[in-house]
Amino acid sequence: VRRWPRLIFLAVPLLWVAAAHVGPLIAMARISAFATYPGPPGAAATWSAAAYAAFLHGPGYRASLLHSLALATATTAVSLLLAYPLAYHVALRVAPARRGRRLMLLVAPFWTSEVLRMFAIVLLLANRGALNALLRWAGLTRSPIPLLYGTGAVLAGVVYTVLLSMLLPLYAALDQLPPDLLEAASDLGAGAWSRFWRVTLPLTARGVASGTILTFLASLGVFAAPALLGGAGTPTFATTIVDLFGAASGRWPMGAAFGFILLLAGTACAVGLAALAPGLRRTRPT
Amino acid sequence: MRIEPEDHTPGETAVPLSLDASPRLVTRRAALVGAALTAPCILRARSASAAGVLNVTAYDGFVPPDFRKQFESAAGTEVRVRLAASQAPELTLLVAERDHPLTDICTVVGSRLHQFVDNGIIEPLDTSRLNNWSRINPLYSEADWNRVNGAIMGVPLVVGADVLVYQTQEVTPPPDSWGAMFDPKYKRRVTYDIEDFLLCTMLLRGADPTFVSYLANPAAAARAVDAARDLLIRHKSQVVRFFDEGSELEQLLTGGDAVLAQTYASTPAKLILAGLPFRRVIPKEGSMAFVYTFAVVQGAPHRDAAYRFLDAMLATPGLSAALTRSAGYMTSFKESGAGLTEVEKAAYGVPDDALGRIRFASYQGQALSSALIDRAVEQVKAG
Repeated sequence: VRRWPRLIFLAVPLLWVAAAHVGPLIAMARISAFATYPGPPGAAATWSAAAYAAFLHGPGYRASLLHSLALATATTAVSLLLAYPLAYHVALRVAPARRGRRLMLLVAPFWTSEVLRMFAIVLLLANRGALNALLRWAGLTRSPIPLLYGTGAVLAGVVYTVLLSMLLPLYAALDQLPPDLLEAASDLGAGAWSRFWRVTLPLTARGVASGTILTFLASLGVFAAPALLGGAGTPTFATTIVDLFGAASGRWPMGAAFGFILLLAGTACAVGLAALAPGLRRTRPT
Repeated sequence: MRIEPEDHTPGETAVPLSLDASPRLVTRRAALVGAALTAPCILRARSASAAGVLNVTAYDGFVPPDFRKQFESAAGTEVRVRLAASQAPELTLLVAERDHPLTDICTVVGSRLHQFVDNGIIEPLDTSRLNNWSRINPLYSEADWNRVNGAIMGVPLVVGADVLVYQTQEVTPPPDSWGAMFDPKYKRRVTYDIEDFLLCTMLLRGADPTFVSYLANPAAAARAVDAARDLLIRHKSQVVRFFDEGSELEQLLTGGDAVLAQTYASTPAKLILAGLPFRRVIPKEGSMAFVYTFAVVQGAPHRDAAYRFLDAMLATPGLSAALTRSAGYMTSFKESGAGLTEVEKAAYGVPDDALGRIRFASYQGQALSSALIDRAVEQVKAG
């Protein structure tokens, strides 16, 4: 008798996944296979693979995807370099009673909207922004240095957006690190670097792998940062897709097809990264 | 909160909602909770429908708030305004809703009229239902660009022209040509809306941005667009960022990241009136003007209210000045300019000596231009 309520409550999330995840994907797949969508009034829909072919033959679409992949790779690398020391500090150097508060402080900026945080970066990096004002006040420059609307600004924005995806898996992995292993390594004469390379890093490789995959996938589809901080020369695949949906000349099939191409590219990269993870997991301290 | 079980008998104590309840009871409770949650929405929708509703898709400021309140109280009709940022997303939305329109009045820019007509979004305007139609300047009310097969398609509201905006302290001498946008002195300090600046670049190159002269020779039109596109791609390093909306332009100009811009948005007027060091000029090569109209949507659910609203807009004294201030453009009414200060007229209007250089988008040329321009915009973005 008691199974029914459980099934009902399981049905809610399943319905949510079907309605909010699978449903839109099916709708997008259908739209991507139309020649035009929505078509002219009264005209029957015609099926076509033209939207997918446009990716290969259209202007700069492949370059835009490659740019997004490169940006996601750079974001993942920078996020790892920034998040690992932070997670290490909180998990291993802060007293257990204070860890919660420290972690809360790190997470606090993410309570605000992504768009608001991007506008904060605009205020910081604009020619008349706080950073340029500081540089001029310090006498380091007489004219403003263009910091916004380039690859650097977009990278900073995307890292800011997705850092949490790296930080939390790393913190979880470091928090579970048995302290007696580090003490044993120390007793056996291993120095700080040796302990890190031969004990800490291998034992937290799963956290690195999950953080890397999550961060890479999240940064591949980020829209707000490139849209608000990017310049004329920094189109990403996500902004290209949004442009296609926003075009007045019926480019929805292309937008939908490109969405699938991004999904496939992201899945391929995630599978590739996951394939590397078991090797990392098998590594044991020597 | 405690919920009485279905089989609760008088005298028994009510039990809290429990996961151990029978499946039938859980299902019924879920249905009751669902009904309770959705009831307010249904009731609100019915109540609004009974009182009279008008749905308007408009740009920010195109329905002045005071006029809206006045109309709502006089007509007993609730005016719901859905904001549109530009023509492309508005058209996309309306096309998606085409079979079951939710909007009664939409905003159509003259240069995109054919897409609204070809997609079956708007219907010809019945001007006989507008008692105050004659209050529109005949330059706009009788214009060819607003007619399809002889039928007038929309109520002309406001007029915007592409202008060259410059920061007076950093751009010297004051520019008088679209060519200033390609001056290496302003590398990475220029911004524009690609679609509109393509037309300005065509003017700079002596081509016809109305496309009327290319109607018999589409290949020449393609060559003209391609040449303008190539010029933009070659000089892409001039551009700090492309913008789509006025708010983005305002951010670029006030942040000091751009000092030269092309726009037909109302942003320059706003900055000039705020006392910031910006000026606007109609370049010597000329400029394209765009008239924003309010059109009635095909199958509009509240067509009568739509006509009452449009007529009230034309009839309301002083609306022209209010509309100019809220939308940021001069109106197409005969009384355009009335009630505005000289400073406001200078900030919003086009100087008399520049009027002759203004050209309007032609409906006839739009079918030819749209596909070419949209393709070129993508290529400039990606190039």
